[in-house]
Amino acid sequence: MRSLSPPAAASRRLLRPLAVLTAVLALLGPGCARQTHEPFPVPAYLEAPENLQGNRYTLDAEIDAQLEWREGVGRLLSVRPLSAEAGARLPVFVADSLSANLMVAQRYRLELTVRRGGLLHVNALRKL
Amino acid sequence: MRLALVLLALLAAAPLRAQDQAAVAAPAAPAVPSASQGPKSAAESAFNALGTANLESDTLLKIIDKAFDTDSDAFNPEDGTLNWKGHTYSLGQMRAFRARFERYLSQPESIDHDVYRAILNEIFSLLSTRGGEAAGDNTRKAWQLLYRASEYEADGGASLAVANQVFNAWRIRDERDALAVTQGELDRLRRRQQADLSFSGDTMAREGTTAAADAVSSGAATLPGVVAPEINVGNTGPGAAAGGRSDSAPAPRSAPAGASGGSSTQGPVSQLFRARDLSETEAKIKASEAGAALTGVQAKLQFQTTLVNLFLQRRFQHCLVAASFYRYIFKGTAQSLEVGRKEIQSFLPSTDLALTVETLEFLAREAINDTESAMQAVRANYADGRLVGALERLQETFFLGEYLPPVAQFEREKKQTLLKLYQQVDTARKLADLKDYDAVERLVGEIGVQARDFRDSEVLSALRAAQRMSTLALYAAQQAAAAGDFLRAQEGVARAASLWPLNPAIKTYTENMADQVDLGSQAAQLFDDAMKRGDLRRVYDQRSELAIALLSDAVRGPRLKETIEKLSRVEIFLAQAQELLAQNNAFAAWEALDAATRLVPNDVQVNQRRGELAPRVASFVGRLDAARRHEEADRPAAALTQYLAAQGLFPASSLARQGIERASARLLDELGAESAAGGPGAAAAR
Repeated sequence: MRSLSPPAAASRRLLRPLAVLTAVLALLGPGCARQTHEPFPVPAYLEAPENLQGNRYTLDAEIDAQLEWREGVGRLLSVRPLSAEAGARLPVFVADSLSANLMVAQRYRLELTVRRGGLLHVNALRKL
Repeated sequence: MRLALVLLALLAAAPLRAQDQAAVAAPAAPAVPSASQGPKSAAESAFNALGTANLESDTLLKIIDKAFDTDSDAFNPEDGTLNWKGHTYSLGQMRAFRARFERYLSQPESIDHDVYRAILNEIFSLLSTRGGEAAGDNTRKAWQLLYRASEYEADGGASLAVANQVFNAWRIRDERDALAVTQGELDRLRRRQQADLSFSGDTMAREGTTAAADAVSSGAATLPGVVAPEINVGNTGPGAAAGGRSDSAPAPRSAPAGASGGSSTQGPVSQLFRARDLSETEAKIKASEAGAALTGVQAKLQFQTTLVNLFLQRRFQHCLVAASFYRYIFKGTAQSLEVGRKEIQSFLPSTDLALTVETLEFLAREAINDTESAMQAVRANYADGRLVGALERLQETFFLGEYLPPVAQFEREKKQTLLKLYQQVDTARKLADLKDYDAVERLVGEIGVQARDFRDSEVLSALRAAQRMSTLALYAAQQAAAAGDFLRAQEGVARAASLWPLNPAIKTYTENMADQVDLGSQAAQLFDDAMKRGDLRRVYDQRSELAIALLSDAVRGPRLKETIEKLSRVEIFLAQAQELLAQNNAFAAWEALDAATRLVPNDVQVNQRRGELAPRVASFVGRLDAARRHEEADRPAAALTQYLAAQGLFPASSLARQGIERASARLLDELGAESAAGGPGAAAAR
């Protein structure tokens, strides 16, 4: 939550009611993704992905390209983290079982698991 | 071989054209291989061209045909025969035949020959003025001169043969005269014996009649009225009337009746002996007549045989002399030839012509005329500097008119000049047989200076053809050796050597082959060392020398080729990297160098360039390097991440693109396998 919309300290007091309202709406709105994990540490991942194996993160990213797709298995996407510096791209795997209609340039909030070998496995996603 | 034939043709006589070509028995022409085949590849074409043969071109064959047309030649050197007017003179073996001609060329003029020729002219003169009262004396003088002529070497005994034949004919004629006397005597004897026999017979008949009459008379005395018959016993024939009674046995023509009693010699026994004597005499007459006829025929045939022999031996002058004697000795009815008809007939265009001594005389005169005109041609050619033509004409004229004055009286200095030419051409022919073409060329040049009608260009073209074919065979051998076909290479060298054994290119070729063997062993060592060290750059730098040296190396050759091709591509990458750097595209230059490195990881030049470029593309290279390490560590997801990062630095990177494709495929393979196995992915998906 901190990482998704870090409020300015000065306006924290004014925004609290709005945040409460937003949280309520998020809980009530069906299909709406909620940031349930830590934000994905892009630099750490690029530096040593094996160190993040087994962790779960939340990543807001824009779909850059579909690298590969195999029917019945899923697709590999390259995404651009919205928080990272320009140019950085991460590969994520979206299983077919998620039945997501993904297109380039769409922005999603991705619930990720860093699996063996550093694979970023998308467990859930929500369009931003 | 063909060249040898050309030169041999120059040695041999040019043809005397036979008037009746159809009657010429064509000698065997030299075998002429021919053919030509179309080329395929370079080596094949060379070998095919050689396979045709052949060395001989159509031009050369034409030269040979022209210079050595045995069908129309009067002179056939193969068997040493001379063909003149359709008839073939046998001149003995070629070696002896040529030796005679060379001897003739080297012989000095004979002073005696003038005397000899004067004697022959005197004989001709005497025989031509045979008419009139002095005919017998002239003929006898001419006959005596024959014995004088026979004393000269140039005569060769021909005059003696004619003289002996004339003497023999005269002797036979004398014998016939003596035989005629004998025949007359025998005839006279026969008539006398016939008369005696007739007379004796008549006498016996008369005596018998008388005895009978006496008996009758005595009986009539006792028997009156009986008359004795009259018997005619007289010899009424002309022979009997002519008498011819033998002197040794004279018989009374009419014996007195009273003396007949027992004194008569006309008994049956003596009559029988007389009849036998007559038979013997008649037999002798018959035998004498037959002998006379036989002697006459024999004399005629012997003389005619001598005439034909003289003609066939090309003793034409003596043939004329003998014919004159023959005409004098034998009558007009004996002029028809009985011997040698077949031989003489072959000289004549028609078989219907009557063959007489005059025919033989005509042919002999024509041969003499031909010889004289041919010698004029010899002199004309010589005067014009056409020595080859002069030599050819002289050779053919020599073989026809060897014994005639125009040939014998040919000037010695001219003969020596022609002899030198003859020997030079002979030497050139022998050198051509040995295929020493350089020496032939030099000699041909000398002959060309001496004789302006010498066809040196034709000989030289034949030489060039042989030399070219030899060189072509050598090229084919080189090509075959380059292709590793050493069997054909050996065959080509052998063919080149057979065509021109002294071909200098053959020596060069063999020396080069030896050098190539040395170079080959050195190059093999160098190549092996370089390959062992992985120093392909050195192999590439010495590729030209190694390519030649190892061309026939079945093992190293392909490896060398592969190495050169590899380094050629590296060179392309290096050039490409340099160009990209010039365009300030360091990432692309790096990728080019990276491609070169994959070909030759240890190449100093490539690694040096990479080292120079590395600082400028460190981040990109770092991503790629990390991606490769992850890929090698079986972490395709991490590798994919690094590849994506590298692609972010250089979007056009082919290395990154290929890595992404490779890692993506591998990752999905793993995920698919896990999904099928119900692994973590599948569980997560569920």
